[in-house]
Amino acid sequence: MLKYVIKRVLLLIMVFMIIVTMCFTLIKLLPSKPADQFGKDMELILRRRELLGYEKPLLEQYMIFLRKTLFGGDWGVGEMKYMGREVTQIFLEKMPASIAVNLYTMILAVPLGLLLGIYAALKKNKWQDHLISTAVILFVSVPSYVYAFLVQYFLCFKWGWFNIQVMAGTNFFSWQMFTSMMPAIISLGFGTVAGLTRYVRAELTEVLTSDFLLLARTKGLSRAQTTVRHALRNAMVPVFPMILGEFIGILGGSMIIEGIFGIPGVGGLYVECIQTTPPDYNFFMLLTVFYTLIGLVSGIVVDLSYSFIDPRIRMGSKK
Amino acid sequence: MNKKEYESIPASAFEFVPMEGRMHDKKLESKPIGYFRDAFNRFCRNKSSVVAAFIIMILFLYAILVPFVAENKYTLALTDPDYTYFSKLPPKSSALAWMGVDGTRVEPSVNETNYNKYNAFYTETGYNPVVEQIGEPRVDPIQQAAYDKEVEKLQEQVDTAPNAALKKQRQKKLDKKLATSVPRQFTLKLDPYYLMGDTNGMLYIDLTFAEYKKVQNWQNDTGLQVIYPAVSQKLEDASIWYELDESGNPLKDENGNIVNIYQSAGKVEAQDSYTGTATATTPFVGTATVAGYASDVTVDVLYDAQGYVLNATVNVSGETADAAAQYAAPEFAKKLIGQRAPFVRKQEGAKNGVDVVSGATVTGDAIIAALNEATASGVQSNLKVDMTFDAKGVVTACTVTAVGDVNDQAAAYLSDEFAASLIGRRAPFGVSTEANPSVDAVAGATVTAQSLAAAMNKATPVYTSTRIQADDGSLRYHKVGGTETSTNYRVRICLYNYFQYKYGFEAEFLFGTNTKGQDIFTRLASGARFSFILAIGVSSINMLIGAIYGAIQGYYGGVVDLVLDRISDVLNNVPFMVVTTLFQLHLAKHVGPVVALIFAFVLTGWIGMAARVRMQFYRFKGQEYILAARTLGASDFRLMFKHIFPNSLGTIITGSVLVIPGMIFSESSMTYLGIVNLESSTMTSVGTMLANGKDQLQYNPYIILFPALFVSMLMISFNLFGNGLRDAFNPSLRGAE
Repeated sequence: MLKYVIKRVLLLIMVFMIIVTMCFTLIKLLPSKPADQFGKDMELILRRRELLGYEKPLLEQYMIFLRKTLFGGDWGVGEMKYMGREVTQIFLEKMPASIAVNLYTMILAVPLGLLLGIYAALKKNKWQDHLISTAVILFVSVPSYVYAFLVQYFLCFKWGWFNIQVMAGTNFFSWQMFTSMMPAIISLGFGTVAGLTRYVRAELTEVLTSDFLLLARTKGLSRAQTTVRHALRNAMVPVFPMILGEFIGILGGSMIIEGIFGIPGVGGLYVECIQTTPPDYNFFMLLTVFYTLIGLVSGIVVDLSYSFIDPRIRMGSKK
Repeated sequence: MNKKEYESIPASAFEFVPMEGRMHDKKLESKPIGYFRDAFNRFCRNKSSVVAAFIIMILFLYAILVPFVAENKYTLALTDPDYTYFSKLPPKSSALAWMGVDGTRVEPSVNETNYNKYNAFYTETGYNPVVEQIGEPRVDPIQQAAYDKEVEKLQEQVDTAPNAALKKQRQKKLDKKLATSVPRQFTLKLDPYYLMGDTNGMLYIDLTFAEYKKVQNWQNDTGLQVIYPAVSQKLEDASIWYELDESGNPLKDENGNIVNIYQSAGKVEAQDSYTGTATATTPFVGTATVAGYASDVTVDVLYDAQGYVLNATVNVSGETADAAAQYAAPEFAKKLIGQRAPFVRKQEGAKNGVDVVSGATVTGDAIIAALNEATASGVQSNLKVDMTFDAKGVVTACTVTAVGDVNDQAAAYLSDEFAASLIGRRAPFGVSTEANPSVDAVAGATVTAQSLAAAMNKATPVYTSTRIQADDGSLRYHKVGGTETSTNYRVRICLYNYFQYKYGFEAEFLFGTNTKGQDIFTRLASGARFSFILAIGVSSINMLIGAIYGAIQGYYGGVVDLVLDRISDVLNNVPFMVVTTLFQLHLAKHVGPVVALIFAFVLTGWIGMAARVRMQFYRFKGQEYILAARTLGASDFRLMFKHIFPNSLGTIITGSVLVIPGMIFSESSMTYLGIVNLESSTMTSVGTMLANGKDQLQYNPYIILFPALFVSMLMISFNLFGNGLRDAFNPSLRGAE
């Protein structure tokens, strides 16, 4: 097991380094904005660029990048956006908003998705199941920004229940902030709930029809007992890693929803730094690395969590 | 039987098995069902998928057929600057009006000024933009309270006045206040097609003479009026053609009609005292005194029957404002000689800026404008145009003769047709003066080809108005502007009819128009086309690459598999956004954003397909028939693509359909965020349409509605269709979503 984990981690590092190197090269091939166009910030930009070895050959720059940036944590300063401010600082300022919105979404959506999925599985092929399944296929397919528009139009404009934009401030865990984030949470929630419902329903129906459940019933366990103790626990084996993966994914934020509801998050930051001409490469580099890392880490955590949840699954064993 | 009998059986003891009626393999009575036929049958049993397939088909037909069916002069005029006038029009369809698709919009709070404009628009054009008034007009309680308080204060001042004179003065102030009212608010159901966005239906535009003429001919043909009379005040807002009272409401006469401020075309008021035709040489008897308004400058003008100034003197009576002082100089008076002043009849209740020829006011501005209208001089053409015209300057008879060598340019005008064409038109010809001898004289003078053309351009045809009842040819319909060489005509148009004139059909957009005025119906079709092309194109490329890659991986296995797997692993883990961004930054300049986007999709898109194919290959490569084929000497290529590959065809087809919704989602997200910009006059994408409409969500939700509906329907249908395909090709997976 440990050997497998180490192998996976090493592989992760290898893939990560290749991707970072690729992106680094591709970004460095693009022309930056000349320093003398920065006016009063010229001094600062020049100094920071010199520190990061902008004038040196690419290979040397890469070494500096590895030493100072990737492991040293100096990602430079904002050149096109947030002029002169530390990239990492801005990035960390943006994180909590993204996390808050997505965390709220998960906290509300996960139980709802589980419940609906379980309910649909228990009522398999009855009208309740058909209703939920139809709703699920609708909600899974429709893009999240369409919900955002619907929510914004009806809940914010038509009925005036919520503010159009998320309120300013950094007090992300206060009640006011929660209510002002509600439209975004609802918009994000539809897809999550629907996806989870579908998955749980599929897994649970499979388990419910398996032989060991029949055995449990014949032994005299009630339907509720078999469902909760046997079926559900087995069905959760693939479901739980999926939820775990989504929890890691929430760090990344969601670009479109953040844009629509004015959430000062990481996703919005990416869009912001891309849309200047030329893009702000310092932010771009950091966010590229960040998103890559999230993807890789969530993948590995999901894989490894299988064996923690269900000890019968042995990772890395030859089939 | 004993042994012996076995050993020697005579041949006669044997008989042939009767061949008739023997069991043979019978020919199958029903046709064998092929793999695809079988899958198709199963697919057809899945109703929702069939419906989804039909929806996809309809959307596809919509995308493909719209350019052939629904294109018209409007949608093809791709970079028309007039588009912005027709922006934000809600969906309207005369066939679907019963469903509420009638192009109306409920405006919750319309202020009184706009309400008056709408009513005046109705009076002037006959198009009523107010479909329905919902509820009673309201008065803002805060404004009402402030108004009441002020009235109360004034009343108190009246009551407490120390003497009678002051009391009277204060009473006057109070009466004045009481005459005004607090502006009201209305809830109206409006027809924006008549109002055309923010313009309130009327607009000033500049036309060339040819266009001006064309519009007039069109008006005469169709009986629809595009150009409405010019108004005498300098108003930016073309929708105000009426006199305003103190509180900004339209002034009504004793019959309750709105008082217009149309500008009179009459250059001369002489018609009152002047009868019969006259030639320009007949001087007008009588001198009109022109009193300056507000500036205290009086201009005494002597002019002939056509309104040409023969002599002018400027007098200053009283204090002269600085701005007016420049006109007091004798040079200015000299400048006026030979010009025809576009004096305007004074109207009842007119306050300012209105010029009157006799016994009334001329403003400095009006005289300057008149100077600008002076006719240009040109090359001597040796043409002589003799005209007779009536007091209003409309030509009644005309002959053109040559007085020497006529050049080519001028020869075109030496015809009876040309002479006849001048009849009935009003000619603002200049008169020759000592200072400027080459300017055309009206009668008995030479006209140059150039100046004649210029004169023709300026000649106002006698205008037949269809809407304005009071118009007897005395209203003015344009203001001349521009330079000497290119004159333009500033006219006040009704946009609703102008649209019909310009594009040949009555404005009606099934899906409405967006903020730029583009027709959403055709625009969305172009976005849809792009989505389909991208989805089908990319998924077939992905299928090809993925199939080959997966086949190699799965078939050879071992080290090859491991290495190839690492490569796809690396590619798979680069965030899609980053890939798209980098491709846009690197490639878009060279190959365009579309190709760059396709590259980005292809770069990572084939990985899923490769994984599927690889799995299928692992499943089938160990089977006996492969071993048999290999033993018979089949090559690797043959084994891969002839024997194993067809087995995974169902999976591949299903896989490539199931990735389509995701692709459409990614594409619309990327274009929505502006990471990829595909917007051009001929092309768009659904995401861009959504992004452009998002600011209009509150007031014009339909701009977003249709693209959002399209993308949602497309994704639902593709998902259902894909699921149906998967169930059909692989029934064992049925139910496992």
